[in-house]
Amino acid sequence: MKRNIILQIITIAIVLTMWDFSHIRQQVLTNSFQDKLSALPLIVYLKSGMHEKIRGKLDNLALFRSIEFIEGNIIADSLMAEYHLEHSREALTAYPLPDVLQLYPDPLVFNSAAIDSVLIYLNRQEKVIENIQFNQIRWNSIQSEISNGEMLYKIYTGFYGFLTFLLAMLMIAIDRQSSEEYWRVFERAGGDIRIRRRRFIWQALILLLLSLLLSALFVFLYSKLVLNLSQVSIALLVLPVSHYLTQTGVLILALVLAVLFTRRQTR
Amino acid sequence: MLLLLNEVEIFAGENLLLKIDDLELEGRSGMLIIGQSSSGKSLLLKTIFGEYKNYQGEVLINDSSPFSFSRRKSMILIERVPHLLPRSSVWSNLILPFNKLSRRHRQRLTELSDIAGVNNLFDLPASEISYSQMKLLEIIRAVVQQPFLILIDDIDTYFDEPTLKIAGTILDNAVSAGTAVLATGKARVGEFNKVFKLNNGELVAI
Repeated sequence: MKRNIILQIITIAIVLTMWDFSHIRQQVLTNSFQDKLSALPLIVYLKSGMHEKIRGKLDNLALFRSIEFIEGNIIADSLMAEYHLEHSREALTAYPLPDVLQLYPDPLVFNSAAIDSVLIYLNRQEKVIENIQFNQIRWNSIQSEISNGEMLYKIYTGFYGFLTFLLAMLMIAIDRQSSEEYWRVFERAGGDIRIRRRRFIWQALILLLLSLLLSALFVFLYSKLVLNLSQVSIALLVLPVSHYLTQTGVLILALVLAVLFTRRQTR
Repeated sequence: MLLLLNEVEIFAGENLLLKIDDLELEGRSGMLIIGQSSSGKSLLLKTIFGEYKNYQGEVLINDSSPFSFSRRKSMILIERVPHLLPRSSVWSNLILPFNKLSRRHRQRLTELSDIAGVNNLFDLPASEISYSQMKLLEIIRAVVQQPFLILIDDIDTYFDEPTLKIAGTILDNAVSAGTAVLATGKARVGEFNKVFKLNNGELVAI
């Protein structure tokens, strides 16, 4: 019986670990896509000295991680310095370069609807805005990669959830079935049948806790030894409580169904 | 009264198999019920044990229904089929029902095994001992637990005459410890305080 429970714990822990890694993979991909998105700025070219009002309004929208303002003359100075255009200073004075606002979006809130509303607002400010530059094709492509990743993650979650449920339920049910003869003789011999219930509850608790702990340990060791990640990186991979709650829920469901399927008529 | 059956009618399907007007068994006593095959002896024991429910009338064990959990715990039924784990050792089978095996239990098991002559079989798998030895083990295991009532079905089919005497000695131990024994058989065997016969579906004292 002890050998069976150890086998159950290890098998379920391995499946839970694979499930954990699918979650971690999704987390890493999402972080990387979000970094890409936040590095894709929306650039607004403004008439000189008109940025205050626009910036205040954009700040209030809380859609951007950061907003950088660069004055036109600073851009002109840097261009002249970099490309040795000192002789063109007069022309630049006659035709000053626009000021620039670089808006770095917060990918968590800057969705398609937000983009549309910002662009509509900016386009209405034609008196102060000279041009708007935003690589929406790239943005959409990254968003589509995120959606595909999320879809794949849902499929993996469903698969591993079902696999965990099926394995746990079958192993527990088979274990109960194979110990049926033992408990029948135990009961006939005068043994207290409540001991079976007590022992099952203990075994179920041990199975639940140890398989979850073991899978968390596998993730930690794999990150540390195989991926050679630092403590900080491992800390970033810590899975959310909701993930563990889902795994616990699946295991409890498997336990309950295994009991229901193997429940026998007691006298 | 430890066991009381009052106006009990036991049915096999819809047919009346057995009718018992009044049957009483006190603690520290033994009773034998004799009857032919298919006379309802086994069903009577299962009814008392709370396992057979197709009956009418009153069955009380210490004034409670045999279906209550505490009543079920206080009885042990020994049937014709041996209830042992064949691959486990004789000793493991003896101590199987004991949640915590006390020194007193261990001592009693050893003493009664000595009487039964099975003390040299402790390490053998249960599948390697004879049928009568299996039944002796079951009786020893039941007696040491000191239930209120031990029910034994077809006791005369387990043993030859000398072994039956040994079984009788072990059961005497149970009776002197306060347990009542109710056995069934096809013929009169052993020393029981009360003997009844099943005659045409009715119980007659002899």
